[in-house]
Amino acid sequence: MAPQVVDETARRLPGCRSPDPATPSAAPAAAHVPAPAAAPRPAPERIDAELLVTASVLLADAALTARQSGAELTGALFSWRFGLEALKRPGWALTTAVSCARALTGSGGLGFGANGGVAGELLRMAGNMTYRRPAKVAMAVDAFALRIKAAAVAHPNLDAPAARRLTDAMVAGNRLEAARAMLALIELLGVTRALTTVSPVIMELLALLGLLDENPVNDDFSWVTLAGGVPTTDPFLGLPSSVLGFLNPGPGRAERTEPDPILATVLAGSRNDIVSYVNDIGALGNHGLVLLRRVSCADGTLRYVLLLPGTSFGRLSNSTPQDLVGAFDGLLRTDTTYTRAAKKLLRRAGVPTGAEIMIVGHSLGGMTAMNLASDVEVCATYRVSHVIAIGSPIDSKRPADHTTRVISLVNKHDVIPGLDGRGPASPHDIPESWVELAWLDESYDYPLSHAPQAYSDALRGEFTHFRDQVNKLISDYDGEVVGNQPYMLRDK
Amino acid sequence: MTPADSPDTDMATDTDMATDTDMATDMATDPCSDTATAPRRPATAWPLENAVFSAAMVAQRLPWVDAPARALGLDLLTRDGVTRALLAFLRRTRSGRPVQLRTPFGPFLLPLAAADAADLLAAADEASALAPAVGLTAGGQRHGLSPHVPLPRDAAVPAAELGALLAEEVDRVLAARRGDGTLEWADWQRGMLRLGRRVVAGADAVEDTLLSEVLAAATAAAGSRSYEDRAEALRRRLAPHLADPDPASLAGRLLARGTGLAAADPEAAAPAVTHALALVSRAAAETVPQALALVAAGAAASPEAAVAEALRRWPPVAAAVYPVRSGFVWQDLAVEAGTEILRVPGWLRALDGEVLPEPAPPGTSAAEGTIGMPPLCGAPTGCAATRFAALVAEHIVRAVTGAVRPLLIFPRFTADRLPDTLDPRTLVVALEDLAGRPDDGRVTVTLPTAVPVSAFGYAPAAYGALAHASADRLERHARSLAACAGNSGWNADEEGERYRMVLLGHAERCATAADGVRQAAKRLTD
Repeated sequence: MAPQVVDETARRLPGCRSPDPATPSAAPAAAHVPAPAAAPRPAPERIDAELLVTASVLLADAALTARQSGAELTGALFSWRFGLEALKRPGWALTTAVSCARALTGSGGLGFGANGGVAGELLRMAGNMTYRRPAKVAMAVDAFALRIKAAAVAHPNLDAPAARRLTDAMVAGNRLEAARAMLALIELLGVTRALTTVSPVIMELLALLGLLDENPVNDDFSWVTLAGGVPTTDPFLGLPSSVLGFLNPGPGRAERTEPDPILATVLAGSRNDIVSYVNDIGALGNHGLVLLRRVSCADGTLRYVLLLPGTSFGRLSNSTPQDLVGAFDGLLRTDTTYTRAAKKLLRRAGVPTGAEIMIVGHSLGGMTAMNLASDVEVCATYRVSHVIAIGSPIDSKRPADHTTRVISLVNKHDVIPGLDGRGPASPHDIPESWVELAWLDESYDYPLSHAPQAYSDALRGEFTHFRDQVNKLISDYDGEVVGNQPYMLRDK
Repeated sequence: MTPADSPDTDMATDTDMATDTDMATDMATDPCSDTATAPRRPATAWPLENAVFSAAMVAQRLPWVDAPARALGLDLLTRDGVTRALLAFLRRTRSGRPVQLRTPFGPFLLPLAAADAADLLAAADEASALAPAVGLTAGGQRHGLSPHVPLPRDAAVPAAELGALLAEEVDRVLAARRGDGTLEWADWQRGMLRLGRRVVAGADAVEDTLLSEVLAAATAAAGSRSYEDRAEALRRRLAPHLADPDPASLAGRLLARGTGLAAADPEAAAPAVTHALALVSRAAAETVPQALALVAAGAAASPEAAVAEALRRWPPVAAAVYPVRSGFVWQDLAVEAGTEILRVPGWLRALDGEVLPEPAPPGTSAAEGTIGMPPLCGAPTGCAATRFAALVAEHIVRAVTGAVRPLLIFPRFTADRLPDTLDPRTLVVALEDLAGRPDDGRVTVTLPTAVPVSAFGYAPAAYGALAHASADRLERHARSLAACAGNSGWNADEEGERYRMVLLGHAERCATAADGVRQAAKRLTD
């Protein structure tokens, strides 16, 4: 069974490898490498995106192997056991050290490939700051360049001269030229459209920046992005995600509150419908309010719906979990002030053990919904039956309960859902059981494309079939709303 | 089918196990045999002995503390050396009788011989004097153990059917290896927990990672206030798998009509299934890599021998504390209520000397050797679930060694000098394909194991083995990249041809790098 990904933009890029190693697609690369043509065929008009992604994956794999080889030889050379052995067999040690050093520094081979351990990392940093480009970095850079090229097939704006000037400068490691190109792009398109233009390859551009800048401690972001994992450091300074925990402290708190008249009006007409949920989230706003709904369902079961709005962009940090620091925290970690406050809400509201819960969230709210669903304690206490993420970068997160139905709604003009590293040309995929519904609507520019209203409009209008599909998936929650209780969440 | 493969021989009931010790226990507790001497209290250790013993336990929390003694070759002054010497002294001065020790981690009654420990616990069990056991780390920290539940004889999956059940999951784990054939501990553990769920709870449970998470949380909380909540969560999680059980699984067999105690009652079967799942998961995740290391080192000739030796030498339950609820008498020794009996098989094995068990006849299951204090469970006597877990571990080792060749990377040891402790989390065993890798680069991107890790403190030969594997991979990458460059899809435009040249350049560089790395690897392994 393949993940249910419906992309209404056009065709999706060719199916790549499943992350699941046991699936047939995990076969060796030969299965994916289009073999040299036996008989000459007419040349295509444009390079096939599948070929670009395949080449990118092969290069990425070779880069990772080169890095691993470098780490092994560096580890051997600077191991204390090697030192002990050198005391016993100095001749052997000398020839071995020369052999390792030649392999590590040969310009036609690994290049300046030392890494790993204290000595290896010092050598790597020295190479980084003296602009050496070892084999691993050269291959990684070209892998990212191929991904950007593949993304341009589905996003032709990336192939426009102004955008191309930017991506070429980033691939070349020329940051001054990249900055100039970015300014030119902004001058040409404006800030929001320039952001929207580069958003499909934002992770690749950040990874290139990490690899080619003078900062030697932010490279991990690039390697994890290349390997298809979840970055645990920031791309600029290389700070670990745990630092965000210090910036976003607080045990979380939930206080029962009453809806204002506007919210009360919206909630009065709300029902088990995805458009209705998106509108409710829009009405809750971004100032700490969330909603717990009790539904007496058609089968006689009392179920619960938790609605989680997204980020307030007004300040970097405020007294609620819905701030920018919280957004970065929620992207990189699972235990955040938002999740802690939401867990307290569930306890405070007396949601019984074993109760079925559906969590619907927009942006940071969607990330938090997934963070709650990946919390073993939450899933052991309640049954998180559905997570609906609207415009959220959740693809790198996984629910603790494999039966949790994850539904991701993505407006492909929206920059935010791509921040999880799964861009249009990345070889990563989502789990088989997930449903991802993606579309391109008329709200081209960010942040309009990210607003709950844009999603609501799309689901009510051109993409009403997606609305029907989602409503069918959540039909267990059809029934009478017996309680709509807003809560104010606080950091402390 | 060999006798070892027969479920009937493999799976004796706990009751059967109990009878093995009945005679000794009866003798010990029979009042008629005890007329000569009145029961007396166990000997108490001197304050200095208590202090040395406590210090050795506290020192277990400081891994670097052995370094000076080892550097000077003074093994006697290492933590294990001190403990061993003290226990030998206690055994000599107390005529081998159990001794009462006082430590900061609690007062313990410590039997000083393996046979005494088994007899003492059997007697206590016979007298129903024991509360459930708790685990004890080398550093004195207590932790929960899966509560022992007897497993009916006919519930276990027959040995003949285990191979087929495990094959797919073993293949899945092998497919997740890094390019150098090694596996991260987390990936190995994930695969083995999945396999455990397949065997015990059925096909529908393989994806249920939450079941294993909740089980681990419940096990860790055993004996604490939060245990009931966690056990209830575990029952909820297990219920769907027991309501419609997979007939091929242990749960399915347990619930099939006519299988005995818990027939057709999911609620009654749940504790036994839970216990079996906990033990199978632990044996698969921890004992199997240790057994593979023994095979790689040439210390075991068969999967059965490897698993038996791994369980004997590095029992997952390395130490357990048995609280005594009500007093009892064992061999004229009065053990009072409130006493805690400490069982540490590793210490006692060292004290008794390295007497290896007689080699079992070929085909004999390791499960048969796990009689007495079970290495995976806190039961005072036999545990059928432990024997089943050992059987599963054997089949995993057999399936793995049938497909790949284990190569010990870290720590390096030889068959004649096996380590006293072997943490499966830090053990690195490369699994090399018997038939060689495919002729192209192995794609690891998007696999959890894709990001390379640095290896520290290995012997030069171990680095050499890893570098050899990397050189092979670089060579295969060179071929894959060249093949990709040959694709006619690059003919489309100037840019396509430029990419082709880029790929060919990298292919050349990979081939050159492979040569250099191979030469270095050869020097390292010389």
